[in-house]
Amino acid sequence: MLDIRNLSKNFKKKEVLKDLCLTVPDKSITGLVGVNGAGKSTLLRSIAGVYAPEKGVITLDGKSTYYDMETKKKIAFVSDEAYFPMGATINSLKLFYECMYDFDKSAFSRYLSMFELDPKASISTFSKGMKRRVSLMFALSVHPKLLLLDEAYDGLEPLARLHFKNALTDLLEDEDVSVVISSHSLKELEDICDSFAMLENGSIMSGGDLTESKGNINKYQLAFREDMTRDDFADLEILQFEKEGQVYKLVIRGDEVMVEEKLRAMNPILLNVLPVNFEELFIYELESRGKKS
Amino acid sequence: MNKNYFKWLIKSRKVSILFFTLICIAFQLISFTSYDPEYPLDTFQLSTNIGGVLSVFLTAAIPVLLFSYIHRKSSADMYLALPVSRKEQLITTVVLTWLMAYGSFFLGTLIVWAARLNCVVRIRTLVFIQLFSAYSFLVLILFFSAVYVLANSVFDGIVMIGAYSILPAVVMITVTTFIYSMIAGNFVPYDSFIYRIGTLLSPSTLFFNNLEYLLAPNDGGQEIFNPYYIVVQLVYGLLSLVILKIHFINRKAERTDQISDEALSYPFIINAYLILILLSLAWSVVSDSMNGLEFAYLLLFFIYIVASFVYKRTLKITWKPVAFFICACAATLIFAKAGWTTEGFGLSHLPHELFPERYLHYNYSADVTIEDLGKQVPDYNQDRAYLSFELCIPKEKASEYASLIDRFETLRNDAISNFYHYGASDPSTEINLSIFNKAKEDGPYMNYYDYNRVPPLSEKELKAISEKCEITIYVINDSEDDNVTDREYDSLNDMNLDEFLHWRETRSK
Repeated sequence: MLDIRNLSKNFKKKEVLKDLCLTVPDKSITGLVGVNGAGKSTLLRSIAGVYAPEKGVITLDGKSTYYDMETKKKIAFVSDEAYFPMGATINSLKLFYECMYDFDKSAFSRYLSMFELDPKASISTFSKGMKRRVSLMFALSVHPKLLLLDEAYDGLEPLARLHFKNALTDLLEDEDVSVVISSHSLKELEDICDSFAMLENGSIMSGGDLTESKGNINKYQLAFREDMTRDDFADLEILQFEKEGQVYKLVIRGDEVMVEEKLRAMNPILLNVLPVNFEELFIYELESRGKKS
Repeated sequence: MNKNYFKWLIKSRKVSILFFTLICIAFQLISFTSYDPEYPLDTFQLSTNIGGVLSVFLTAAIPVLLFSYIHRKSSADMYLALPVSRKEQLITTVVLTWLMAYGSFFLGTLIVWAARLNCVVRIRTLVFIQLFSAYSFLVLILFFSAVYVLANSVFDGIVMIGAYSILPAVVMITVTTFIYSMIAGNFVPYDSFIYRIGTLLSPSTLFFNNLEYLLAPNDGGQEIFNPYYIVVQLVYGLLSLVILKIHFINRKAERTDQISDEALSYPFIINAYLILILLSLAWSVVSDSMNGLEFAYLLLFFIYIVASFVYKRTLKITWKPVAFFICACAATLIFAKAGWTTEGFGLSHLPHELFPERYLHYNYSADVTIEDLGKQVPDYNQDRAYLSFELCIPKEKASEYASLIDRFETLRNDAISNFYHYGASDPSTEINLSIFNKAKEDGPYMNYYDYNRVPPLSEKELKAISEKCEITIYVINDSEDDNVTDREYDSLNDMNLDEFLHWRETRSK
């Protein structure tokens, strides 16, 4: 289990991560989302042991991810800017991972054919998507306990994305792996994540189980005989209020059954409940934060 | 040291390691092309020096290659996330660099020695050279690594290595300019650390100076192998370790690809160079020892602005560097003026002993008129006499020479006054007085003072001196109206005072 307690990180005077707390259970895939500059990459680099935490601790199964080298061995980090030495081939990189990590040669061969990569070709000749595949292939081949993907999932073509998803699923089935993925493509994250953490200004704005959170925010389509204002819904936590003619579109946070009960008490002539997707959840959360502040 | 990391470094770079090692050895073997059986030691010296230069180059170049990952965001992510602590990465890289730099030197010198020179160079000497080189290369690797990691990009790191390597020379130029422009007599004790400041500030020079002695203990430029240099090297090694702990082991990885604004990086280098060069210029300005300094100031300002651009990576000119430059110019000029007013911060009047060694020498040389040897020639475009003598006074005869010593000490004081009155620039004609000591008559100079603008000695005084030592006089025919023919001129060389006076008397008749 990855446990982050009161993590703070400054870049000179700028506080990038502020007293951040996050827990990622085993066998889970956590989506890390946030606007640009929210601190996603900094958080992932801090977990990977690239950045030293200024305050707080990051532990994987109770051991520091910065100071304990055995723990670092269990972490695979795929950065947003993959690095390949000049003239490197997959075979030459294999040597690197063999020396540094518990490298699984058979898994490597499997992933190599799955991602359709030429081990002898110079990586510098590869397209951006192919380079991503190389990074992901090596990250999977070291059998990590914690897999950190910093926008590494973005830009993969559909087939490669499917392969990667399958590989992740297999990994999660076989081993106690935790995965933290940051991405701007929330639709893609929604497909594979079971939990999420939303970052804003260096702190976790909201997070938890994705399905549960999505269930907690719903879109309601309503129609009333008389005119209604936002104030008429004051006892509900309205995240969005729209009115088109007699039809009202509301996004409300709260238990679906209880909210529906309250709305029915207002005698609507129409009441439809629609689920929100991850992207909408993210947008509504951000908007509601903006309104509150 | 991390075995896995070492294994990977070796395996991934085996071709380049082999290439560099062979190149270094091959260059050392080139010395055999000039092998002379009569001077076999020369071959060994040349080979060892070549090996030393190449290995010193490797001590700077390999850390640039192996530590470059900390200067790129993507590679920093990859390497700093490795299950190898930064301390282990540092130690492993230093060990590999040392093996490459020293290994090639060791193999090269050993091959050269074993091939032909084992009967000329004693095994003890060879072992001592190896031990000293092994230690020096380790210090140099630590030093260059420390300087390289001060920066936040590969380019800045290379600039830092260059800048820190050249800095001792700039310090030396500033100190030398001060001695020659600001101190009448240009005297600084021969064993003063000031003459060694350039060496002391440069770990590479410390190595080469002692290596020079080890290679040629009897005719090397340095008198003895200096064990203090080893201590200074140790200090550099320890300082480098402190810097490496701060800037590598505890490095904030987020600094990667940022401007190199750490205190010891560009801020120190740019300002240190600026102040040192401004001081050199200021010494020259207040002592009036150089012309065309306005251009030098303008050029320096241009270089300073360009350096600020390189540092900040922006072409925006702000008032801050301009104001700092102007303030630094003013401050250095005021400081230099204070130095000039206090006659070299009092260094021109340091108390001196006349006989710290057995012999006291006065070396006097003057361009004077033929008509009166006690009169300085106003310019070079006339016939004149050039006279010189060196008066050597043994300590035991000090009382016998008391009046002469008093006279020369008066000349010394007058020369100091004239220096600060007229400035340090070379006058069109000059009278020089050098005062120095010797332990033995044929020994080296010691406590050397050199004064120009000395008031001339009168003919009467010269006659008195000619009784104690020989005065040599040349008559120089430089005037346009050729009073002395070439034939006559040839016979006028190298006269003593009596011969000159006789010649002058005959000539006037």
